[in-house]
Amino acid sequence: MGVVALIDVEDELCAAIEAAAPELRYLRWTSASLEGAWERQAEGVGRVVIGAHSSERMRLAEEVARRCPLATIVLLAPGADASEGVRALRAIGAPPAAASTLTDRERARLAEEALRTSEQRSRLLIEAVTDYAIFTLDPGGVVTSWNPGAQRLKGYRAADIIGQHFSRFYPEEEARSGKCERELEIAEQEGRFQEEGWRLRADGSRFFANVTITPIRDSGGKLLGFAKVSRDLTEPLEAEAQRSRLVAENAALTERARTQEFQERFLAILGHDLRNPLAAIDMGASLLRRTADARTTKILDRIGASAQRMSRMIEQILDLTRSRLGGGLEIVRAPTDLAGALREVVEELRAAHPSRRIELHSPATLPGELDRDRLLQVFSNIIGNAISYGSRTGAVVVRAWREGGHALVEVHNDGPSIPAELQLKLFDPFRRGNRDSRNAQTAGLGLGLFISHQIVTGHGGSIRVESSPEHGTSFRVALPLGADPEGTV
Amino acid sequence: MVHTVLIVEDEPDLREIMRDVLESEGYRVVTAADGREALASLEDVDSLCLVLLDLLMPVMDGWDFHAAFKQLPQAAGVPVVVHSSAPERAPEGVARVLQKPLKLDRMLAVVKEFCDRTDSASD
Repeated sequence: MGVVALIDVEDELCAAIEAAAPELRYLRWTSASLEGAWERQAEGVGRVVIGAHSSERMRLAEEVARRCPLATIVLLAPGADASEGVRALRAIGAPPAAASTLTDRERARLAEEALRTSEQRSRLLIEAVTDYAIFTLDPGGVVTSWNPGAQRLKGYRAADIIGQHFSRFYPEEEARSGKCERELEIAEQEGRFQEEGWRLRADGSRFFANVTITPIRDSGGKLLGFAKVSRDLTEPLEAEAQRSRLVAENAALTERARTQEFQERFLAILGHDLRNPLAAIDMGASLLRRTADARTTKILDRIGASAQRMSRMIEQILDLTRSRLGGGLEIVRAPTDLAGALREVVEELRAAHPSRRIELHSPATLPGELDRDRLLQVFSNIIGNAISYGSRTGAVVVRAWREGGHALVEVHNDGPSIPAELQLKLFDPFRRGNRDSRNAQTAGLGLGLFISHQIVTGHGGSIRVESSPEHGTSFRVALPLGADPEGTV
Repeated sequence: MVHTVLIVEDEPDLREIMRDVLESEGYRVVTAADGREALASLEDVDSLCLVLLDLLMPVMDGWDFHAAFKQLPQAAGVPVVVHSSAPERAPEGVARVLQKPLKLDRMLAVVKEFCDRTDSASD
């Protein structure tokens, strides 16, 4: 392989080359005689130097390369002198090296091609991925590449985000706390950082992301930057939330059915089961009273009064329950004389409070379509309150009149006024006047005015109160009398 | 002639006090804890002047009892007075409806009204 073929090289140049590397053996050929020369002397030719470059000599070089694939071929530049020829010869080195040089080049070219193909494939893959944001950061956290998935997920275009620090994907408080730097540090030290957390889109909206950060190093281990892959978990999260909502709705329906059943049972207990023993107590006391002495009568009176108060409270709880749980109090309208109903209430209260003065100023009749029993309850409550809370020496004055299609009833008492803050809550359940004014008559649940309010509004009417130390307390009830107030009453 | 009142009431204390009250007034009283017991007891009752009927009862309620009672020959001319916490739901055709809790005077007045009237009518 230590043979050098010099083809179409001028004699002077040949001599110079031969003198420069005398350890090699030289063959002087011309392209014209090449065919015969090659057949005789080709064996051992390791290097071929071809004279001044031309298109013909290019073809010659191809021919030589075909005949002797292991030879190193050098084409001299036009006008090359001896020194250039020697340099070219030295550059291609010793014959085995020369042979391998060609192979190395080939290998390098193939490797480069393979790398290019692989890079292209990776780039296409990364660009095709739209479900994942894939981008790179420099060692300091500045974005250096951006795939379409990142654009879709985070809302930034590559041109807008490359060159920006990745902390802008984090909620402000997290970015300020140094979270981004910590993540890069962990990725660098541990080879990977992974978490699930809230991130920001370009428009400021949040999404729940699964994030992986991996360091990128060169062959020497030097940190070049980071690859960051993010996936939006908001949709799975929303699906989970939707599932939870359905489960909750289902539970609510079951609960509603259970509540409905409970309400019906509760109303039945109140309305029936609790009242029966009371009736037994009351009736038992009444029976004993017939033959009792004075002391026993007094005790029996207390038993009877307690039973009655308990019975009233049960009625009120029943009304509250119907009102709050059962869709409101039922108002059954029928032709009614409101004036007659007021007279009945006033007479009953006069009998119960013989020491008190109760005035009634009313037209002879006030006919309307009303629920008589329910209105007896309302006025018994309001006038009863006026007796209980009003001045003991002053009169309770009840006035009723007609105004257009409405009946108005005003109940007035003198005495301590209702504090302003209590006036606002007067018709709420479980409210009542101050404790000092409580006695056997007023002791109750504080539901009377709430129920009265429900009954009046159930009629389409209104109830309001005015109270001041100077003018005393007035409740005014307005009731629509119905379509035919002159009707059949 | 002593007339009989049939009390149909599931609350035992109330039922027994009602019996005491009416017996102390000189009436004969038969009691039943529900509609079925009441129908069974009718076989042994003479000169029934009134049925005091509760509505909400186990086994056989007041409505079913009333429907069955009306079909019986013994029921002819015997008024049924309902005493109930749901008076608005009383069956049609009853003589009177009393709201619970039942008051002694009210109950006695009603019993007198129907039983003594029967008495005077038969005199």
